[in-house]
Amino acid sequence: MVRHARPTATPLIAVIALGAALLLTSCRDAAPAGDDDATASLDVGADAGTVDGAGAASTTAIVTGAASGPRVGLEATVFEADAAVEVEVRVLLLDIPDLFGAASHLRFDPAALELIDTKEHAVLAGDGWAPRALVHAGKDRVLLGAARVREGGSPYSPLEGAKVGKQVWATLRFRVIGALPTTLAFDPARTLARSADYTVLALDWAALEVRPAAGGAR
Amino acid sequence: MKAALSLLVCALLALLVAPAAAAPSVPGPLPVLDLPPLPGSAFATRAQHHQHEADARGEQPLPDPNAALGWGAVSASFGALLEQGWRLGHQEATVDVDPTVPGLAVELTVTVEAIEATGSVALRLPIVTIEAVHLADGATVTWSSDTPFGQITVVDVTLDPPLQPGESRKIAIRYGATLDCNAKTTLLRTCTFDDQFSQVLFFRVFADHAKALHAPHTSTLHVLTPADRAAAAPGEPKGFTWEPDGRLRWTFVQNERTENGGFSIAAYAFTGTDPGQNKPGEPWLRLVTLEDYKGAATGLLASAKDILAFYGERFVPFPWSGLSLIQVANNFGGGYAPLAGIFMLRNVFGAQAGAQGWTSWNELTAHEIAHQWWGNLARPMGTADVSLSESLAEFSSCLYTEKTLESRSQLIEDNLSYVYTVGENDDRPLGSATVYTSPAYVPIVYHKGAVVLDMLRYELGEETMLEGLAIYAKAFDRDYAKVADLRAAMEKSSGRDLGWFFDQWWGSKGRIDVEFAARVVEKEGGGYEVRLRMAQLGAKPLRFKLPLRITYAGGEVETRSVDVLSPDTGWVSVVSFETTARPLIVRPDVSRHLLRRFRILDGADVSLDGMVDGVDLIESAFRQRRTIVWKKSFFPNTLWDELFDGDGSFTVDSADLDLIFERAGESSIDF
Repeated sequence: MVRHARPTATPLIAVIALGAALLLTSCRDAAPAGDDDATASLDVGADAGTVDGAGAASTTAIVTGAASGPRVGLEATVFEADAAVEVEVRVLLLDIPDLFGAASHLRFDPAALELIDTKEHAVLAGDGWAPRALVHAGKDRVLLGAARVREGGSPYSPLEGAKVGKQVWATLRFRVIGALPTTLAFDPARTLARSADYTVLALDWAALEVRPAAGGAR
Repeated sequence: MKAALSLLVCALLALLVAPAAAAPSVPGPLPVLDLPPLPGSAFATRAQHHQHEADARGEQPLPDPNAALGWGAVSASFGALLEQGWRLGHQEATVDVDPTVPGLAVELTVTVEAIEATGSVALRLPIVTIEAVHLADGATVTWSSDTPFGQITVVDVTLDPPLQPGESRKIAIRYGATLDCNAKTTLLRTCTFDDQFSQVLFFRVFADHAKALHAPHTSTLHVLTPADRAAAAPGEPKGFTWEPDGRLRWTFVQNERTENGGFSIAAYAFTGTDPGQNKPGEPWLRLVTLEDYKGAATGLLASAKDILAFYGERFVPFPWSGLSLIQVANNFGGGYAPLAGIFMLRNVFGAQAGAQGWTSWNELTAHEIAHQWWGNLARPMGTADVSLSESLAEFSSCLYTEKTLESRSQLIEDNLSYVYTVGENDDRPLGSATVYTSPAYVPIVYHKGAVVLDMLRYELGEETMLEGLAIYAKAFDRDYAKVADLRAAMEKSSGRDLGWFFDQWWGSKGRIDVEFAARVVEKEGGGYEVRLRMAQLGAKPLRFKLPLRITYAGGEVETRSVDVLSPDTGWVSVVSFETTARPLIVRPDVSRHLLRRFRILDGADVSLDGMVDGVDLIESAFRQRRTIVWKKSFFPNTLWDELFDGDGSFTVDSADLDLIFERAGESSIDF
């Protein structure tokens, strides 16, 4: 995956309550507190942009979704330099006690956002279980998939789900190319999560709105 | 929840069948495995048992292939069998076994009943040495014997004066026979003489009408044994009497006309009920085992009683006065089910409820007991009708285990056995008179036959199908039937023309081979149209009812079916139906009702929702490492579904996942 040169980053923090708890993300807290899941293998802060705190923000990214419970969350960092604005979105699996696989389509407006980079991460790994993650860029959506694959032992021994505390599933980078606001949201009709016993899990799937910041320069 | 509610009110299936616009380009038939069953597996045991029955088929009421004997056109009526002017009445045989030869000395009395004026009769026996023939009252007769084709002995007896219609005469024959218990195969034991058992199961002690297709008769069998042994045989046991030499004479009476028999001698113990001890309305039921096996008798008798009741409620009541379940040597390997008596291999009698061997006991016993209806009550007319015995018995057994063990494993294993092991060259139509000639006789007649009947159940619904079986059983009570008669019974119960089904599954060989592609189209005004494209890869397109399980986001599941009306629609069919919510997964034939091999076009959209995406990854991940080949043997894995074997390697593996990654984001072809 080709990574683009990063513009100078501008930190931004915004919190909006929308009836549900909000998940605030920014460059300042882009590095999560760590992963309590033994199956996790990613240093989730590694891809975060450099933060220099200079200048006034023109764009903000607001995540809506549950603050606790089994969920798929989003974190966003806005990078601004000159006229270019880019948003890095991290897709997170959070607090899911028994997860064998998850999939969805993260939809965006291609008139407003250009997907310029994607990166999948090794999630749901474990002893005897190999992670397989799918992040595929489409015209107006990112296809996401994650599952664990048995590496050894009897194929007829019981399947085991991963105990997920916090794992980064994918990192996506968008360039703002059109009018804001615009929303990134999982397609509820293309969303699936299963536990090891094949039960469909009811997860909360977050959404993200990219909008002009109040008083921002943009 | 909203989606669930909306599903409840979703539009009824809008079936659209669209013929292909042009001749499709589809790959050839899917390959089969040419592998033996995994040794020691439960399936291998059952397959071996079936093979034994197949090898023993010479003892079934089926015609001799030699037309020179006059076994040609026959009537389907028991009373109007082409019996060449006379028929067999009662026969009585006394058998003295010499296990050291091994051999038999038999005193046989045959009652001949004239239908027309009869001056001579031809009686058929196995290869024996005829020592004497005379009338039962001691009068001499003119007789001769021959061994045509080296396969049988025919005794011609001149009746002087000729018998007039309605008259009968008793002919006494004394013969000796040397038995070769390894005569057919190393697997099949037509007879066994060892420290525990002296058994003769596939040697016909009684005489047949040499020029009749079928020659059922009533009979009395006497078996002489040492004082420390007992004899067991089909029919009503009448106990024993002492012989002057200190031996025992055991007697068994068949009051029903039948052609099948056999007997066994061992240090038997008897449990259950003898004739006269049974409750009114219940058959007597005896378990005849070695003493060491009496411990399990209570559970086995309860199981057999349950099976009898199960069939009696669904078909017609058990037709005979009772039934003996007789333990025979383990090297017999399977079961044999004459009228009112079943022989089964030793080890299954060691089964304990819920423990190891219990499933095998249920499958085998349910199969053999079903023969009391299918094969003994309603009997197959000819070689083309053997499915009326073996397929129906195996289906009945599957029905029983499905209901009582709550598992379709037996049906699925049978399904996979045919689908994955029978190649084009070995295949025969189920209703072919030459199905016996196939080395795949067992997977065709037993396994495919059971699955075909299960498909008929799915097509008609269980209640209608069972009603059809009851109609058939009543119509051919103690009679001979053809497959067409079963069809007529099913048409009567369903009110439908089932010619297409019987032509397709009895008249033709093969299975359903389908390559799927899917599209989901959002409709203007709301809702979705699901389109399934099915390219048939077999020798000819087949018609079938396709079960579908549709999963929606949120976990709601809906089941429905679509009728695939090939061959009217040609090699490629498109069926469509409407849903109010967008399906996430469309799975065809989850419970494997169909005799089929499925594949996905391009091997990746296993969820059949029209796009290769993460859902396909999840669904494939759940099936990883499932295989149908294990240790270089065919392994009828009931969890197997070739839908997930994108590359056709007979194992769902990382290569199949790689296909999903390679094709992520791709939509189906346009259709």
